[in-house]
Amino acid sequence: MAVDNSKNEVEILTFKNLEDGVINPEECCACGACVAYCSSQNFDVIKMDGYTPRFKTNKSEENCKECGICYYICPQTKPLLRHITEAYQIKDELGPVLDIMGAKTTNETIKEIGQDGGMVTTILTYLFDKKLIDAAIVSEYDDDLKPVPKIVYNKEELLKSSGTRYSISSNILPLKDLYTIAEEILKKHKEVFDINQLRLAFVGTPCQCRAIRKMHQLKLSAAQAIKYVFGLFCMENFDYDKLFNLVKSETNEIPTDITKMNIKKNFYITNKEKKVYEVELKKFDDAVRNHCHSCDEFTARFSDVSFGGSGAVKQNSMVIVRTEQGQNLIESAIADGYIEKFVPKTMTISEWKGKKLSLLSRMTKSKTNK
Amino acid sequence: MDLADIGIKVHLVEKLPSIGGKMAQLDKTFPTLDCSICILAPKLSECFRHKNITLYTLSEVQKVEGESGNFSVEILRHARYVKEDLCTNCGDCATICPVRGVNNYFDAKLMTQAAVQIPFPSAVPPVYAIDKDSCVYLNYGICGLCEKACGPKAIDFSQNDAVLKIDDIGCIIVATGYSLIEDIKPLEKYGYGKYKNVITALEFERLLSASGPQEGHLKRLSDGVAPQKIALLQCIDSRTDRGQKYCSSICCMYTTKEAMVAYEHNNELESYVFYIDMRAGGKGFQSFLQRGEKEYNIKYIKSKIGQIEIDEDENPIITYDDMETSEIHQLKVDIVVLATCIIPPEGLTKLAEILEIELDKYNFIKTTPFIPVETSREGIFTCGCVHDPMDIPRAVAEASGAAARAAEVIKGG
Repeated sequence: MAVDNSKNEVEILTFKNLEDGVINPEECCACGACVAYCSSQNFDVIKMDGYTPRFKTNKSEENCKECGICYYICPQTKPLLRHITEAYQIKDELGPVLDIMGAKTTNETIKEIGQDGGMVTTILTYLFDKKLIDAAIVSEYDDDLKPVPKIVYNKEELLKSSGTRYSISSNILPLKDLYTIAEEILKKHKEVFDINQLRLAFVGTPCQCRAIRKMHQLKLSAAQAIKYVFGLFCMENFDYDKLFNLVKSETNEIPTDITKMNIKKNFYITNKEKKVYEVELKKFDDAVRNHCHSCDEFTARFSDVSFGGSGAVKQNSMVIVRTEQGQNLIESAIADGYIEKFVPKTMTISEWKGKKLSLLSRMTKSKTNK
Repeated sequence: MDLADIGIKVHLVEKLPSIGGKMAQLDKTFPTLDCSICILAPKLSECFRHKNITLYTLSEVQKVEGESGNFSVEILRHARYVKEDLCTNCGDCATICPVRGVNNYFDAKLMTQAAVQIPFPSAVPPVYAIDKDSCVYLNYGICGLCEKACGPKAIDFSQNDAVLKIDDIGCIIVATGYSLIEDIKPLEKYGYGKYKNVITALEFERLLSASGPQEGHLKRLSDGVAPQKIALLQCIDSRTDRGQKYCSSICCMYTTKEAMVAYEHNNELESYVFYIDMRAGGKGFQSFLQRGEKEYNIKYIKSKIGQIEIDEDENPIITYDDMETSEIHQLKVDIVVLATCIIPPEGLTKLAEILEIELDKYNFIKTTPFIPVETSREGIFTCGCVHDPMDIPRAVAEASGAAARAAEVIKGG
């Protein structure tokens, strides 16, 4: 794998190339990996301008160290894709499947507020209870229903982030402050003398998981702390402003009056009075972020476990277990009574699994063929 | 150094990036409780500067030809990717390196480092080295941040592994030390790897050390609380038909030493040493143990360990068979320290083949009791734990013995 040392004059692709090849053509997925890396190195060169990574000032381009790492860890670029595809044994559109199941939480509070089976919140709660993580990176709504990345340090805070968000949140961005996170954990929880001792869980979309795995591939300090990667099924993501303009014109509701959104066959929007609007999904097509059109992932292949609503019976989530670590976690969460596995009544488990896998495979293909 | 001092040229070959071996990792030495690195560091740098000693680090002997009095040796020098003559040991490269999580052998893997690292502050040579497996530049052709950050321009990615042939070697002395049973397998039954408060003696040594991960403030790995009660378990995988059949020789003494040093961190500390037999054969050793009992609050329990479990606060609970009373007891402690067994150093079987020397039934170098520094091949001598587990004073004496025998051959005595 090592490069030929004698020819070290290979041109390194840098943030400039990222701008030209990914950001300006609107292929950026706003995960924040590039900025998180660069800032965690204290290079002070790029920042998130809303959902777009940009050079901080006109002078920043000169100050760029040209290490090229931002370009390589971007989930939308090719160079490291081959490495992580091999490392995580991705062979088809569904990725590795050690197990697939329907499951739901046994926790009444989470049932109330969570999406589908409330699985992500429950698994994170489980990890906190068993002292297996010190913090989790999730997203939660601000007052305007705008998703923002959030680091939570205990299970109580988690409840605020339960439920799905349909516009993007730059979930990798918080890693830029890894040392602040470490200090926070140090203050509250335990003795940390090595960054490798921090244990964070990460929850994100397929593209965000891809970025984390690329960062893992390079053993970057910024991602060293992430020990669990949880992926979310993702058909497409919406631009916040465009989405809520369309929501307003369809339902006359403004973000502050909406309490929950869910995509099934159609888009379901619930307001404060618990009134549910059903709007055809294709009415929101114009709000879909551009990079989602060329995305070939649906079930978050680069994760330990991925979760989604598609294919599960009501009040349940679909769960795809992808790594041994994920397997151990889900099995012990079931054994300890945190989650309940769905048992199909009209067919055998293996028939059920086959049916669900072909459904998810069809859904992924329908996405890529769009 | 004995040899170099009498004018004999010495080529010192070391596999790791720095010389110093296990002794550099220790906090204190028995039976005097002297600071280990304080004794060792001056010797290391003297060795580095000695005009008759040439140091080859990150190097291995891969071929030996000839015979006693006239060997020729091939050394494989692994690339350091840092120019030894230019590096000033400032550490700018490690600060800017974006990689973390590379294990540092020196801190018994309790600490990790960047892809460019120096194992410990007083390492010799005082020069950084790039870890080939985790360097982003060497593996992916990008980054190169250390090269840009290095003032003296010491980073050199174009280095390659090289083979060096040295002729005219009179004698060879094998002193490659030892490894420890750190594999999960034999330690699994004690909960090592599963329970955070069950650690090995070398890890405990690093935790006690002022240059270690906790800067000398002894705290539990699970919650950072200072321990009040520790248990030190001897004969871990040694003297057993299921593991290593021999005595590891140094554990009786170093467990007491570690308990003493821990007591000096906290005078309320209670230590429990679980032993099968106490072996204190060296000079001053028996009185060392007695001091432990009288002055350092150490209780010695002749026993066999049944099992170790933990309670909800991750406190280990030891179930043991007390051999004095023949009763089963339980003891709850804050930390369990495992006195792991000395085993032959990694790669010794291969080295023995290269050197054409015999190993004994435990795979240490074969020697005879009355000529402990001679191997089965003329002109090749040995000293220290590579042929038999032993403490530092004996290893030092043997080293001088081996040097004297080598000098005889070379000077024609």
